[in-house]
Amino acid sequence: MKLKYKETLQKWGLYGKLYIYLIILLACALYLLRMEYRFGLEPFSKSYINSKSFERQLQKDIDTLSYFMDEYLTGPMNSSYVEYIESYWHPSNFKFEIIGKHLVTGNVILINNTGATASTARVSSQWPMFYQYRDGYSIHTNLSFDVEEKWSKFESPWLDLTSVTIYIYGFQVNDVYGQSYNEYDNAVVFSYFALMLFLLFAGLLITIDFSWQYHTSRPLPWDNLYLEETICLFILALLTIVYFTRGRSWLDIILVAGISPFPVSLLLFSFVRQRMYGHINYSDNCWLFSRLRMDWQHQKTYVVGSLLLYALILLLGNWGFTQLSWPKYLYFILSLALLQLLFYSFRVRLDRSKLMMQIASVSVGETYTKINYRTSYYRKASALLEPLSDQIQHLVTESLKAERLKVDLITNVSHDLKTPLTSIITYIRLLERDGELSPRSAEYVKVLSDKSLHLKSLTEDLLEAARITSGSESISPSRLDFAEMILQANGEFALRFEDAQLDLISNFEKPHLYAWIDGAKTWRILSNLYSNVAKHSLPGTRVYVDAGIEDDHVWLCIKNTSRLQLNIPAEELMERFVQGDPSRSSGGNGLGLTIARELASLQDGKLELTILGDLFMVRVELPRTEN
Amino acid sequence: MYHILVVDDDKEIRSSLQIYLEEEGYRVTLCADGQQALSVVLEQKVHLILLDIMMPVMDGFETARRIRKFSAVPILFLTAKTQSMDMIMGLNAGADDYITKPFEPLEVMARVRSNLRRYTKLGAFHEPEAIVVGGLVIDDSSKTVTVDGDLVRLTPLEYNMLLFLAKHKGQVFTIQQIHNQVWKEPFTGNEKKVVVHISHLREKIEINPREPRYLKAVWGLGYKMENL
Repeated sequence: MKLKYKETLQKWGLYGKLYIYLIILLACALYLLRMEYRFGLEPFSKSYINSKSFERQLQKDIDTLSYFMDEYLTGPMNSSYVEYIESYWHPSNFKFEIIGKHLVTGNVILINNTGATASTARVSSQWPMFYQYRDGYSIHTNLSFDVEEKWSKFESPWLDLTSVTIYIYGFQVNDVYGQSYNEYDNAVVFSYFALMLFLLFAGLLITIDFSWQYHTSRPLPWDNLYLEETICLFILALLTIVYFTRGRSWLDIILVAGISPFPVSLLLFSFVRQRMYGHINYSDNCWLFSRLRMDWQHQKTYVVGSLLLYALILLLGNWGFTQLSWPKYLYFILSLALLQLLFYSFRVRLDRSKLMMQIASVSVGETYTKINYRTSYYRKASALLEPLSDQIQHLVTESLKAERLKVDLITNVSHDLKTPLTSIITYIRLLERDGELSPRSAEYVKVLSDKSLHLKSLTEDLLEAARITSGSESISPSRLDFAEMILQANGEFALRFEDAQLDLISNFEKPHLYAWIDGAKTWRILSNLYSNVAKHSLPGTRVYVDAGIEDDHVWLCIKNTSRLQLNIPAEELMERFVQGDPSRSSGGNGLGLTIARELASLQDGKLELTILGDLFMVRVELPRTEN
Repeated sequence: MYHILVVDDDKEIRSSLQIYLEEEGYRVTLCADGQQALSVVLEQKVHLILLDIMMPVMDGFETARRIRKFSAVPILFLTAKTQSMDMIMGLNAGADDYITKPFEPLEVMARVRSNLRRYTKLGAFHEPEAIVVGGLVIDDSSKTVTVDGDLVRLTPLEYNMLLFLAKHKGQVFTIQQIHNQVWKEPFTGNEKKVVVHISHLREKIEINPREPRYLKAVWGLGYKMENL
């Protein structure tokens, strides 16, 4: 179950997540496009951070509107929209503040007691910061202009500053536009965030894909994505707080939730996954705070440097970004932090996959090679690998040497055995041929002859078993017809089966059973099994040989009835030198099955023994295709 | 009388082979190492050499390589090494045949005979339509088969099968293909008679049917006549 889940995730999970992000990004872009279309803007004309072009367009619209409004709104300022006018008097500077509920834009005209007039350029109330803009509160609009400069243009000199009448005309309440502007602003900000998150996730995915090839011993990379989800949660919380404190309508909250389905869905998904599939091995550095704590422990200079950088940015304030309103400026800094986190995450992930690569190479016995790491933590971890690698190297060489010594020993011993054995066999043949033996001596010579041949097959099998188990045997598989091979074996052993009075019954599921096997080695398996059957079967019984295809392998099943009672377990029967007959009188040496099993596993196959009473069953499975 | 050189560092093997070879009517010289053998081959006319590989002073590979520089005398390796790599090395060194220890003396004798015939009757006249595979000659006009000059008796089915395989030597045929060509009746898919006939045929034409020289099995694919 768990495995299947992992496979499915590996198949579409990561990319599925990426697609979700892409869809969100597209949705945001569409939303933005719609807004821009509504205001008659060129699509995606300007930077999303600086929406000056939008403001210009808005201004144009307001101008047009104001032309008509002038007709009605000229006169002393008494609009219900503007609640309070506070003015500060100063000979050279004229300042006043309009506090109202709404965003306003218009002209201010001043008339003094001599009848001289001065007018401001078109002014609009400043876009408020979020925390100022709340229901029941008002927009503070600061207007100021150089009075002296303006006054010099008047026909009569400015005399009495105290008796100035302020006329404000052309003020348009931009409620509809304000609301839309708000939405537009949101769209810009959220698109921006969606883009950031998309980039972040794509980056993570790339670094994961980079390390994907070393996945054999590592936990599912998906489980390491909690960092990203933590960031999403963090952003979601931030946005929610902002919106609640602004006291905007529920529509806005829904908008936020609607635009941020990814953190919600991901958290939900993580939760469901955890519930359904149990605890997943979270690495400690998945969560933001433990991650930060760890960073502090291992990356002090980095963290301090980053903090200094942000402090500097905050201290410098909004200087370079006068076009940015405060919320946007904050978003800008937050984005910067996100970007930095993204790059930091890249660094860590890159280092982690490098370490994984090193561990993988060390684990297969390669020598340790130094790699350049970006973070000191992983550099230290990597340095720990070096002595380990040396140790492994040492052990591997030692054990290879020991194994080679063993094989060499067996090879030499069996070679040395063969020379005297040759003499024994040739002289026994000479004795047999001379024919001058008494009947009793002839009988003795017969025993000598049989035993010398047994010794011969024993030394040969011993040599072969040693070679196969030492792993020095190589295989060269190709696509062969397993059924053809069984037919060949049936034919080759037909005479021996006849001699042993056995009836061979052979059935194939299909006429051709193609498999990816080594011809000579598989033949050795078959001939070992068949000669076992010929040697140990009860005369007059039937031998069943069935073969077929199943999933990714071909199988062969041989069933025969044992001549002797089988009173040992199947596992023990497989072990070297053990035979079903404890007195070992049936002419085998017990190595046949071991060799057959080793040869089967050498080809990625397997050999199983089953004993049911006197029924002896061998099942061989061999791969159908490469790998 | 053919002169045969037996080179082996084991005294008992040397003398037992001497007994068998002398009974067959050959003149036998025994040597304990490659250096001795080389000097014998240089001084005397030798028709065949039985050569051990692992010997003191000079090993069998080196001896064979040196002999091959001036003589085409048949060399039969006698060795305890059985890995295919060793066999390839031996054949590369210039050996004509390869007998693994422990051997059956009668098999050694048969191989000695076969190699001597091939060596001494090299370029012998064959009927133009005769098919020749190494020492195997099939004369289709008289329907006779000889192996190293010895007549072999075959049943019609065996003869047809041998003729078919020899005509396409080097080519691998599946059991079904051989069945269709020789028996000319429908193949049921589960017949062992083809393989049984092949083993009968081997008994007749091969020196050691378990290690065939002519009629070889290609496991999982079928059978072929070696292209010698």
